[in-house]
Amino acid sequence: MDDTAKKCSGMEDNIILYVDGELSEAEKRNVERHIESCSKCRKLHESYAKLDKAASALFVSERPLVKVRIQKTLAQKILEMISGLAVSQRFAFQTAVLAAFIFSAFFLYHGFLGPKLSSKAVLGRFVCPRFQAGVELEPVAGYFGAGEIFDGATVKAIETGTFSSDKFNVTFKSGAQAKLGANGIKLIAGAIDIDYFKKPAPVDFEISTPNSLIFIRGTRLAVSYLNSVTEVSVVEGRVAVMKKSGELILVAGDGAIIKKDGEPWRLTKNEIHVDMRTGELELKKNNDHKALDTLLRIDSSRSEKTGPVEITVKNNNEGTQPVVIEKGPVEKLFDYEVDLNSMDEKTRRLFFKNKPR
Amino acid sequence: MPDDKSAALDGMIEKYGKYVFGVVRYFLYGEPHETHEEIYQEVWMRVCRGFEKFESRSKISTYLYVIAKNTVFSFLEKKKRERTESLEELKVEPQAVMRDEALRLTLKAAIDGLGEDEQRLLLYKYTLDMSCREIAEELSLSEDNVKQKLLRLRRRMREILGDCF
Repeated sequence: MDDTAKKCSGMEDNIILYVDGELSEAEKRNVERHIESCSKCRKLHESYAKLDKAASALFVSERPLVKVRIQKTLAQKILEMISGLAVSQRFAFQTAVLAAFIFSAFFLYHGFLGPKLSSKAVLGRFVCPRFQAGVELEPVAGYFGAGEIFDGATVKAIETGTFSSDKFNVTFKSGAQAKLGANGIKLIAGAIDIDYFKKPAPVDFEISTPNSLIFIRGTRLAVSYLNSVTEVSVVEGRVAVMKKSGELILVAGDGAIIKKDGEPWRLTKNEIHVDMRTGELELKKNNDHKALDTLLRIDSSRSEKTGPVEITVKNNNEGTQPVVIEKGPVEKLFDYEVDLNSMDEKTRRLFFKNKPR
Repeated sequence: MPDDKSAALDGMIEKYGKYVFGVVRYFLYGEPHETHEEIYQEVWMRVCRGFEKFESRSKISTYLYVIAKNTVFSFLEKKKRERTESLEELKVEPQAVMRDEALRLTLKAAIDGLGEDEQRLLLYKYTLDMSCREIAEELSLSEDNVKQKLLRLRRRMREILGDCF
């Protein structure tokens, strides 16, 4: 008996290791021989085997491990989930690389980009140092560099970026946010340039902003939506801006602004835009400073000023030096031919008080 | 997109899938298997989402453990909120199953009382079927240390379960 007891000492650990499968062949045989002859240790072995089985059952299912699948709705959730990325500054770069890697790997792995799970086709590619993109209206996922854009995805360019597809390209000015689709572009905020180069351009390709609807006719154009005002200018081709009744057709060189009321107001070539808050008058687009067909557009709604106004003229084409215009009646200081007919009454009164038409 | 990237993810799920499932199953023991699978999917989604917080100095297994545990707890929180007044149906199980189940639940209570490090040792052992040497490598501990810890754990568990055997 003493002999067995001696053998039993230290046997408990060996029994556990035996159950764990951690023993060498020789040690295993040793334990087996012992538990055959010692009922106490046999019981001990039984209880540890039982314990092992029970513990294992707490962690391991008898059923096979389910395959990780990301369905479309889940994928959308992931897009939302990655939203923290763009604001993460500390690990911004590392993060982006990791996220892009995991993200693309995940989608590739599960065929999200492939024909199987994807109900949405890739529309094109967005190249931008920093941007966000998402499937919902709000862009959610942060990216660096470049990414595939799905049909119907919303993109927000943190810096200037370019979207390109086989039918049209869109340049996003920094801050611009738009939903891109095969059938149209929904500009949510900021300024974009659209080049629909694929001919013939579909008549129903629709560019919308919160207050306007524009149809292209094979076209290069710029659209912006800032301070609740939509501005359209046509570089090439024709554009139809929806009016309350009918449409306003714009040709190359034309522009229009659409204010809150949704009614487009045509601008002719070489517009001068006066911002009454700052008193700055800016020559926009490809203005020739000496051009005679320039329209003076004054946003009088922003100022209560009447009579002579002190304004600054900035000509983007002639460097950064602003032209300072002394106080006095404005029409005396400009060489420009002013299209008074296209001005509203308030504006006309504001700047041409002494010479009403 | 290069194949090695998707392969890397493939490898991660391949390597730690059972481990993640083990965390979910353990903490949601008693919930139906389908719930475990659902939460398991959710964990991998969270892994995608939270990867920016992943610092390479923490181990992938640690990271996955935290994510899995958090996912489980948000599920439990949600469930608590949504729980209705209705009484849950009592399931009638065969006696043998009941005995097994009683043992498991007692064991779970015992493991619940352990520290996180010890719980994770068991997780490695049971979900990934790792040997002491492999666990030691994973946790940067000595093999003997892991071995002694696991032995001590089992002895303690058996003591607690003494009445059940």
